[in-house]
Amino acid sequence: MLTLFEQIDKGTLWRSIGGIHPPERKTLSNRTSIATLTLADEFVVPLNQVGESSVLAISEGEYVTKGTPLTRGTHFGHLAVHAPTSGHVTKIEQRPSNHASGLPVLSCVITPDGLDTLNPNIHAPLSWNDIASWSNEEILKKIQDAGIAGLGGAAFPTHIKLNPASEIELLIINAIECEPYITADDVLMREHSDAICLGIAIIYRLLQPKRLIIAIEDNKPEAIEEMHHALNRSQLPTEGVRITSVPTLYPSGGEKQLIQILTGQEVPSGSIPAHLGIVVQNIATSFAIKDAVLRNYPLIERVVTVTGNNTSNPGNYWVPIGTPISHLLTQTGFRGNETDKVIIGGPMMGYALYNDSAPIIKGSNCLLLPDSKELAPEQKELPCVRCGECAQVCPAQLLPQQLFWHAKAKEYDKAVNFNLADCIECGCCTYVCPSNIPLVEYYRIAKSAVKTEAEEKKQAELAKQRFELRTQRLEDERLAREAKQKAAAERRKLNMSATDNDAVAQAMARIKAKKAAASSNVPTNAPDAPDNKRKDVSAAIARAKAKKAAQSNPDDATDHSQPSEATSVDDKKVQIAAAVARAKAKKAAQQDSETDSNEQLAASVDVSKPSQEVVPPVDDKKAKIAAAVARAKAKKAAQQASETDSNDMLAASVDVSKPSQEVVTPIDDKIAKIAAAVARAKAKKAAQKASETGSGDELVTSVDTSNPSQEVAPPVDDKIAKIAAAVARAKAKKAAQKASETGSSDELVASVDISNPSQEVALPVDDKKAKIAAAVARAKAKKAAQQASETGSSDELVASVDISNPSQEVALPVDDKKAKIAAAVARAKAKKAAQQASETGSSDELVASVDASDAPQEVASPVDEKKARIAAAVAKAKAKKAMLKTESEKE
Amino acid sequence: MSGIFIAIILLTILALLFGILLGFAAEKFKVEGDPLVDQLETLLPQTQCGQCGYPGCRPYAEAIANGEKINLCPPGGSATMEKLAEMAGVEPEPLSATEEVQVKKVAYIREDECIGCTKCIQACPVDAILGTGKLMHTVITDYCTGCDLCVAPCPVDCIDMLPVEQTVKNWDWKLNAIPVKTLDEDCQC
Repeated sequence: MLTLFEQIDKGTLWRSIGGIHPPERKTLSNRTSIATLTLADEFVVPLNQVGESSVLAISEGEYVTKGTPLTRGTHFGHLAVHAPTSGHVTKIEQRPSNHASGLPVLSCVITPDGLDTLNPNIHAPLSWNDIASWSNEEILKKIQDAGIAGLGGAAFPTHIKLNPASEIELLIINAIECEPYITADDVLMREHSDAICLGIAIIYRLLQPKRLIIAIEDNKPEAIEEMHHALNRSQLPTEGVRITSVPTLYPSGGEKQLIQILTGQEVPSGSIPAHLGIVVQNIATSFAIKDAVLRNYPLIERVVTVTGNNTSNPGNYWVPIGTPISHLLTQTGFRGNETDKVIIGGPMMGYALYNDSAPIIKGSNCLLLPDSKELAPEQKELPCVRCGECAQVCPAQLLPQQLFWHAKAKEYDKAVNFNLADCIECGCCTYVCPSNIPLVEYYRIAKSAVKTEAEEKKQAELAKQRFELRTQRLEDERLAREAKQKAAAERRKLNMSATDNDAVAQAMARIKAKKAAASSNVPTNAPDAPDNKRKDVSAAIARAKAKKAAQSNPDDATDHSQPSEATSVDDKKVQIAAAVARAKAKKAAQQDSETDSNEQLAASVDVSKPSQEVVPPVDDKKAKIAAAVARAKAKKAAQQASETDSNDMLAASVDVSKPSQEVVTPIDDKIAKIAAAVARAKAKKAAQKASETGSGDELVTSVDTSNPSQEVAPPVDDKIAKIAAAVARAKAKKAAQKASETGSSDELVASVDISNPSQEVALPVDDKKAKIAAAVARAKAKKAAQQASETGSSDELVASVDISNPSQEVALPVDDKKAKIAAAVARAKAKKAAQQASETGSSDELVASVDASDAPQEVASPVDEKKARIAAAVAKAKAKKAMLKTESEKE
Repeated sequence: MSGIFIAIILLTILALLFGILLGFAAEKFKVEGDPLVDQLETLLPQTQCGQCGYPGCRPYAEAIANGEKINLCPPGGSATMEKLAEMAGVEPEPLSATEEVQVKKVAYIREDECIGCTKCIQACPVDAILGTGKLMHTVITDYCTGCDLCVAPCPVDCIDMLPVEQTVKNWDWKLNAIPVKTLDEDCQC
């Protein structure tokens, strides 16, 4: 038993399967030598790979020489294309392709300058010895850079084929050219056999195979002879290299068929010959490789057979890649009319061209121009008669009739089961079909449908993966967010339990200490005789408030520790005031009853020392106004309290603890009033803050106005004092801001201690400046309050704003107007606060202890009563509106 | 008489043996999950478009396994419907939605009009839109399933659904055969 190599050396041929003997018609074109053509007016080089594995190397308008690469890329599958001649790149645009579809592809249009200037990289041919020292990588790089593709028709990149992963034992040079009409390889072998052998030697060097077979069909005796001579002259070894003449049979030139004939081996389905240790290379490609390696000459021209009865000059031509086919037709004397077919490739496997402006490409080996006699008229497709002819001629051992059956029924998956993919589309079955069925067309349709389906499936799978990843990502993000929130809540809780309580306790302690200090001061302040009236008024207010508290919650403990003794002066006014107070208290009670259940409302109004208040018979009007103001405030407070939703534990302890402390001298009422107004405004703001804090807050807003008595206003250097006061206030504000800016879950203890207000001495000079300072202070206080209200939920906010010395602010008896304006501003603010308060959410535990200990400070001056009254009326009107609004909002 | 008893005892023992064998096999080769759902899902086009009323292709596959109609997938067309019918073992029925001409469409963003709002990115179920806030967005057309979901959220209506352009690569071979004529070898025509 001979080994395979011994059989090969003997020239044994195996029986080929199937195949047909169509008329060859090669003599039409192989009787003349290869001719060259004049340059076309423009060249169209398709840039198939641009956008995938390569990028453009030139731009529009650029001058290129013959052989300039038009694309560049680093991808291993990148195959450069080159300028076929010198000239300018006029356009890079979509042009009709040399493809069965005729669809446009991106192409580079070159207008030649007619000089055909060679690229400087292309040099005179080197000899075989020059490249002896080159490495395989260098040679392969040259082949790749030259853009060499298989010239047999498939145009597979040669440098990939010549760099196989496995060892190659057998190299087959395919010079079969079995398809009728085509003679390009035949004439190339006749004329350039030495160059071809040099190219084969380069391939041989690259692959180092054990055997080399140059397979030529026996219908080309001239070529076989030429090749024998050339082989003897070449560098190729004589051992293991042979030229085998193969009997003429279509399609023995097919790669797998040729391997079958020469070795008896069958390339498995879905595999490549390299797996068997075999490489098949076209003979024209060998020629191109020689030029590429030895001259650096890229693949920019090829031999094209122009043949058929419709051409007056059939033959073979050197045609630059990119030459429009229309140019080729005119140059070779196309005799047909527009309806005559122009076929690219041979009659068996070629396709009809749609648009003759399409260019010649690397794989175009033949231009067939048949006339109507050569080409059968369109024949009607008849039903399959199941004769089985097609199965006998099929070189791939398929069952064409079954494939046709399923392809026609569009049952492509079943066709795939009959190995549709192994069909080489040789056309033998179509050739022999007695029913004129274009079988190959059916297979092509089925193949492209299968390909599309597979592509879609792949895309769908990728889409599914992306969708799942996206879903997973979104879920992860959500979980991460939740975890973060949870961690933040934990931290907050920890902070609260650890330090917050301390801070609150500290704040409370401070407040208590202050109160204690204030109360110890009480006895020292002896009520002054001349101000009896005012005292009276304040006593009336206190009573009214107490009443309200009692009405709003009868269970509440109302501390009237020392019943007030109202003097008998100005009873009427006092009575009226009391009546008004009662009416208001009623309203408050109503509102209170409207508040939801579960409220434990502890509104303890401590009117601890009313007896001290002595109401003097002077200036009742002013007193009334003051009383009205006080009532309005009380009302608002009650409103806020009642508007807080259910589950609130509202302890609004309004301590009007030390009215007697106040020593109001009969001088400068106005100043006193303004100061009082300021104090009120601040108290309001505090209340605002308290009410604006979100749900779940425990808000302790203790506004201590504890030590008013400390304030001594000496007549010296008021400016300095004012500045000092302003600075202190600013600092306090900043602290409050910082506190409020720390986000949610912070423990906010904004204790603004303005502990030593008594230092501040306000003098009767420069009232304007004082007012400005006061206005600034108010604005700041407001901002702080807003920020505080904007802090998120679940904060425990202890905003103890100790405004211990409201009386610091002393406005002078000049410029009533300004004072009024300031008062108006204060009222507007109060209103806003009330509105905001009504909008706050549920379940707050609100402890708004507003210690307005020095309410009676407010003294209305005997000047400008009218204005004062108007202002008061306006304030009341506003308060009403606010109430209405809140009610309507509630509804 | 004893033969009958032997037969009964033997059969009983055999029945017990096979029962144990079956029980063991049922535990040993238990299939987790519903393989039908996976099979149905592979048939669906994975556009994740939600036109069936389910939030994605897998939920619809699960619904079909639980008896939902098989004709709710417009992107799949009647081909998918028939496969689903076969897989689910139900009768094929015409598509509920009016079957449009099966031209695959993909989204294109008119990039000069894009304001960079990222809304389409959030809407895209298959991450086929590239871009970030206040910067131009673009559709990775190879990834686009043509589900249409990004068109509605666009505040400036700069997304178009355009049919996929036919190129040499995705061209479907048309029937344009070169007819065959047998010529005589020595014909000098």
